Amino acid sequence: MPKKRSITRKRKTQRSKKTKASLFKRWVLQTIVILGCVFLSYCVWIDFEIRKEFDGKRWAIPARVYSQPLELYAGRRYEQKSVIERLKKATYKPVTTLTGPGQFRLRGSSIEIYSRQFHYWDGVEEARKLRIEFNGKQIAAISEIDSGQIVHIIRLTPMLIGKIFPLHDEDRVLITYDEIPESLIKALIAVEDRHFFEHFGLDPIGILRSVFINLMAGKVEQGGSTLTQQLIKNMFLTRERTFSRKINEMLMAMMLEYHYSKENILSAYVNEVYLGQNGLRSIHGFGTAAEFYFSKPLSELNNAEISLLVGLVKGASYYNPRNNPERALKRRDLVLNLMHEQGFISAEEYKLSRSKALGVIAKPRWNSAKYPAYIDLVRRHLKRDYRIDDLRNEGLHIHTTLDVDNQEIAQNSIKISLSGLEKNRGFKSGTLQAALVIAEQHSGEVLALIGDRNKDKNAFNRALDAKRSIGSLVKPAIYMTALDIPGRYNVLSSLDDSKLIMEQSNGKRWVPTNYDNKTHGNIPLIRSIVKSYNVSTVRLGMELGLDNVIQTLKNLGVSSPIPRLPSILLGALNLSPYEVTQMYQAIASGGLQIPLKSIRAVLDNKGQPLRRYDLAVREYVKPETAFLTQYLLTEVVQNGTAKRLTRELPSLMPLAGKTGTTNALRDSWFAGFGDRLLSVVWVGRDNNEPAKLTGSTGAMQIWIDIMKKIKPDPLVLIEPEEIEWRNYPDMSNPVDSCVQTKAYPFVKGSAPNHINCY
Amino acid sequence: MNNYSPILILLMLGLTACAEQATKSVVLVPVEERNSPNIDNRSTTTSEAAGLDKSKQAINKPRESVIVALLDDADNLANAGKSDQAADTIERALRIEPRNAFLWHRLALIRIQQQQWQQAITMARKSNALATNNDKLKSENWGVIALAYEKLGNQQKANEARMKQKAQG
Repeated sequence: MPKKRSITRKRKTQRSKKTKASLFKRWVLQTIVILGCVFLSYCVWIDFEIRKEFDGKRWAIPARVYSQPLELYAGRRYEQKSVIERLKKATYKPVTTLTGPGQFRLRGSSIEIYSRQFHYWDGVEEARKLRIEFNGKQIAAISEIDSGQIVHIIRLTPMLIGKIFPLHDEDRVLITYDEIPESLIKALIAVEDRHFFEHFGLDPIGILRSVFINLMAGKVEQGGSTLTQQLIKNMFLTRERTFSRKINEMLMAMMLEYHYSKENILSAYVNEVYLGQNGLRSIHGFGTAAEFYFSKPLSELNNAEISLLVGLVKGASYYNPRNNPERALKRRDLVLNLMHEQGFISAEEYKLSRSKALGVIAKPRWNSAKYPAYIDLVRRHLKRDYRIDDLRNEGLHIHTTLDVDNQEIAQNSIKISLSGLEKNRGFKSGTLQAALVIAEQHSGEVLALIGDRNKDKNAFNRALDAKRSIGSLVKPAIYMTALDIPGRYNVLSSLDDSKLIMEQSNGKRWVPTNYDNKTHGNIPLIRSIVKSYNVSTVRLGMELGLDNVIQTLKNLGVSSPIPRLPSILLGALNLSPYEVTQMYQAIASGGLQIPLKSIRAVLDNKGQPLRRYDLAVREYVKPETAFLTQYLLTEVVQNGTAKRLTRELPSLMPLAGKTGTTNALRDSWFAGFGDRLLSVVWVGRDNNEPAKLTGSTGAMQIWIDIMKKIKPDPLVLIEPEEIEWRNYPDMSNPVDSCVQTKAYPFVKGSAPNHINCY
Repeated sequence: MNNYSPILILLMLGLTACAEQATKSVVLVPVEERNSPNIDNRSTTTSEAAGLDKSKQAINKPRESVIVALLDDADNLANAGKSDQAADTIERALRIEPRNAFLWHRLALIRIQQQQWQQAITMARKSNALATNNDKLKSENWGVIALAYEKLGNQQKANEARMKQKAQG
């Protein structure tokens, strides 16, 4: 019994133990199931999150702003050295043999170029090998090197002059999988992830190897993260180094690999990885980095350059080649070494690449600070047609009308001239300011724009926002109003320049005076404008009626409010240099008003055309009236206030222009044009104190300096058929008057039978 | 995924069982699809082509071959119904020779193709202002002006232009 009892007890104990065990088992199992469910739900959730993020991944890509391309053709005046300069600016590399786009070589009096592909509005201009032959200062011929075929006209790749950045200040040049250079893939594999194309997101062998290496080295020398893990880290996770984050990263990497192809993952990686910092702006992706460090497209980088960028993955700031060139060089060579070790590059290539300098450019070329006033104008024009978000995020390509040569010539001239003027006038350095616009009058294209003497500053864009009294620049509008009535006025009509006293509506008297403080009695109309006499002009304006003069100003494109006061006849009218340029465009084009524009076309991120800014013209005045006005402005240069042009620019004659000076010499203006180029210059002081400069001693001097370098085509006046020329006594100067004869233009039938000599 | 271990594959399959159908395509290009600008599909009419031929013959300047090449390009584009591109090419030529009356005439013809009647009139008039001694070109420009005024419904001005076209032709 006791035995039995004891057996029973034993059994009971065993049973209770069994029950306890099974309870425990069940409890464990339940916990595992619950935990498993929680884990599974968590996994499902992050899986969903990953795919949502990855599928919907839309990188914000800044808009890219380009200058106009340099058009070269046989017969164009453009020197060999200028083309070379331009090629270097566009980071074309001088080589001995042309092997790829972005290269050139000199061959005596010709240049051979391997051009880059570029998407223009009217189609793609493919990369090709071209020979440009020069004949002195002219281009003699252009041909394709391989076929020998004549090429009539080529466009040299426009320069990237600025970007319009996303709000979070990221910069990115998007690269598609096909565009990833093979050497980049190889370098990434060699350095970052040897088994990328085989693993499932994690690389156990890689982890073991890195643990071993790190143990041997006694410090963290190699990370075991795969490219996929690194991508996850960049896209989803914070920088903190915790165990749970690592687990998350591994899970997510596996899921990413499950859902997406290696190509997709690699493309995302190449575009996402952080590779540097430009001030507040982070540099993401290899395409952006190629531009940031080398100012070249990724496709043009050699093995050494690619290796430098791949080296930055480990620590873009620590290995920053601009701040730590030695460290960067060491890292680059390590990358090259790994590539060589793994058989990706030959011993020869390894040696060659190692011998190369870093080759990093000092500053990124597209820095918007280079032409800030111009970029400001482009932004304002874009805002009319685009939402700011599209500009910041959609990677639009903006093709502008900026002529880099003209812009730089103008920038340098202003800098030098203002310092000279300050010295002459006894001003402290930095007292004077200037603004300028250069435009092509037949297309309305703005070729250059300066809003500050310091080219890097644009806190105040004077070209667009400084509205100043325009002085005598208003006069052509008054004379145009008169000449539009050929029955009443012609270029030799008699005007009265004797003393004028005007009663104003406020009861005060206004007595306009001439700059020389004299009156000149009866004078021919032409002399009144050529000498810029004020009294006769005011009298003429009043005779014509203020409303008619105001209408002419509006027709010329002035959109600012114009006060209905007699003082506007002497230019008491505040306009920006840009608006003055618009006004003179209409005069210079010979009767067509064309809105000034800074954008030729907008293309999307893939180079597909979105919008073109057509040439749109409006005839605002009879061609013969416009012709006569232009003629008067050529006479201002020949015999009047702008006569210095004939001495300083003799080979460019004829040109047309008008000086403008305001009360107490506060503003100095000059507007002048040749056959194609029109430029308006303003010089003055921000506080509106006297600048001690007339139009001809200040602004015109800068204009002359600039045109000496730009060498605009002389103005060819083509007279409309309604114009006839008749000989009369020369009325240019009182002393010459009636001594010799001179031909003057008239609207047919309006030439006077008899004139008085004065 | 060929080298994945079966357990991992099972694990991953399990993990995603409740999730949506796996998506294989990734949108890596963040730009919305946009339509290209509307292009007029009409081809150049015979008279337009004739106008172009005459203009080519009459150009006699040092940059002649460049202008002719661009006119050729513009012609091909216009014939392919790409009037916007054709206009772009003429504008390129105009930047080289802004006072070339034939180019303005050609641009006026493209504006006709684009049904921009007022622009066509202004450009034809500009061409006339520059075509000092070329009566034929002037006559053709008056033809363009007449056509544009007709389209605008201004019969009186159209008739005046027709008269001038005849007088000069």
